[in-house]
Amino acid sequence: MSDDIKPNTETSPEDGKEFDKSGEVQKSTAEQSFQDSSSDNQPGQEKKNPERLADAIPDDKTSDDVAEKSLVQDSQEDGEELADDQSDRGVEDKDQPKLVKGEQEVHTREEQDGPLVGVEGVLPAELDPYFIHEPVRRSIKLQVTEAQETQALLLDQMIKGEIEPQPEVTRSKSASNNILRIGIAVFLLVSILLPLSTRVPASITPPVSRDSVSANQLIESISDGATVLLSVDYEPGLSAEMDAALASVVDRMMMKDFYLVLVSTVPTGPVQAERLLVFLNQGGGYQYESSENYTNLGYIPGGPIGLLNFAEAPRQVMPYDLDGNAVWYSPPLQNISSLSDFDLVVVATENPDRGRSWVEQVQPKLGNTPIILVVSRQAEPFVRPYYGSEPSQIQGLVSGFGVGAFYLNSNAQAGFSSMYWSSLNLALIVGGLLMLIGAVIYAGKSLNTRKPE
Amino acid sequence: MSVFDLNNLDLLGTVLSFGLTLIVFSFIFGDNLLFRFAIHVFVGVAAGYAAVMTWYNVLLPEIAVPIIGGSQAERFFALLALVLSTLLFMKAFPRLSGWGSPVVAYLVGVGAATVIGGAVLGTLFPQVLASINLFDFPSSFGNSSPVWVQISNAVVILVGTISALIFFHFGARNRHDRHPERAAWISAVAWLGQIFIAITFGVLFAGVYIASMTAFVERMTFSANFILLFFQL
Repeated sequence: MSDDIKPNTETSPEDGKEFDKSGEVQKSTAEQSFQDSSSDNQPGQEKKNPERLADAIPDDKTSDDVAEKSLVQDSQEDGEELADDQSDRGVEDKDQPKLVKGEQEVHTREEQDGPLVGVEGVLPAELDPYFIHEPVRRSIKLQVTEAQETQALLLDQMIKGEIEPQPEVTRSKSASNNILRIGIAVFLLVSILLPLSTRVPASITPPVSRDSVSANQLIESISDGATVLLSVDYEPGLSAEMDAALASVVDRMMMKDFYLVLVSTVPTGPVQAERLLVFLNQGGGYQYESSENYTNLGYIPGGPIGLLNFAEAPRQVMPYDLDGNAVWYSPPLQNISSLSDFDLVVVATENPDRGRSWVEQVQPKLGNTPIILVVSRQAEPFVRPYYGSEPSQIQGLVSGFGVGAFYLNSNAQAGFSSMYWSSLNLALIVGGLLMLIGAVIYAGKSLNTRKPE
Repeated sequence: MSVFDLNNLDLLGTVLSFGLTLIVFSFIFGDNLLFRFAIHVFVGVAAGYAAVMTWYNVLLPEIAVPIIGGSQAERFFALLALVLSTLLFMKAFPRLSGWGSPVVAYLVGVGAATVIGGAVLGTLFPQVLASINLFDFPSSFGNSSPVWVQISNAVVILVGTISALIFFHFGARNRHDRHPERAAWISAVAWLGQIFIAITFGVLFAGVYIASMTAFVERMTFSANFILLFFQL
């Protein structure tokens, strides 16, 4: 227990100075601190841990020795703090005595005169001026510019804004808002259901665009029975538009008896593709069967990386179809070793990023194989530059339900278009009118509420 | 044909589809319990389907089959993929998430290289070349348009591209006793670019509007046909 209090020290019987067990005197710093602390060290402080002190006191020691032990302990701690302080300040001097803890405190000197001449390790009677320093003055004011202060304040406000709970935004649930919402819904429902209930055929046919004609010509230029890679890359949420647009293209390809190889970079894509073929089989009277007329290779994982991998090594990346068959050795595909061996690539997507990935990762590997993109109207502006540029990076572009559904005259596309087109036309017009009326009303209200300057 | 001509599975699917469609449309009357239930069903079904598809289309043919019956090289690569996948799975556990960091780093590095390389070589350079070619009048637009149309198109695209790019230039010079401001000519060109950007957003909104309305019409058509078939109308 005593070792905890004052390790390896004992008191000299002659002058009460502190020695360690190796006969060496405690360092001068400790003595300096002793002087400093002696004035501060009140009896109350000495009794910080009376039990430990009592354990530390040998029976034959006097009360003065006890006090001195405690003070020496304090001075040791002070010395350590000073050593740490110096090391923090980067004070490194070879001539300066090294301050270390506990038993490593080795600072000896030989007494030059007096009764202890020649004795090493005697504590000096007076303070060593070497260890007296001017107190280091540290500024407590942060040296920053005004701009830095402003930025710090802004950052502080931002952090506070993040951690403070935000009050829940209470939306107004006024009756007028509900009536307005229901009213708009009724208008749209009526505009959709009216053509359906009257069963009036589409009176206005969408214009046939130059893009659709080009895509049609491209498909027509490919010989019957060609092998086509078809990627169904759209989510079920937008399948209404995409099915209608893609159906006309696939329908034309089925008429020419193309062998379809289906893939998808969307997990739900393989099922979407199967569903579309079932619909076209029913609507167009085709007998497209798996393995006989088409192969569904399934889902390509990995996004753009997976797509690039598939473009470089399709046989290795997608070795089996959805049924687990090794289809690459079947007669229709045995001559296909890379994507450039396909006669045509068709990509159907509602997502511009997926369309771009096909152009960026796959198109450069296609060689002379043409590629057609069938896209949603919302994705068309993003992919049109690939088609309209010179030289063009894609050879065909079919966009949206309106343009795509009518560019070919076949049974299947007629089924899609007759179901939707009249209702869609009327709903778009009514919706646009409602938006226009709303914009006019809100503009009038904002003009009325604006204060005159 | 009526709905009762369908087989049991098709009939169940059609009825479920009709019911869920109506439940989603109930949002017209505000957020409600049924709508939330339908949303949760959609999320759950999508997640479950994705998991099944991943197992049958990725894990089974890419990992399990090569390990069981593949050649030595196939086994090695499949095992390597399995180990890396397992390490990536550690990301789900906070105490072990550090094990997955190298795999994530690898994925991010490869992904960034692939995407950036594709964007530069597949989009940026070809589109810059295409913009330059717009002023190569004898070959642009297949010579089918009059020259003044070709010139107009080229100028509009050039001005639109440059002004839209300059709109995103926010550099400004510091002036004495005044707030930093963009140069006057940059502000003018940026204003022009703002118009092009606004038109672009308008076109994008129109596309989204048409796509959404098409989905709405398709669902309403399906519901109307279901009712007509159900009541033999």
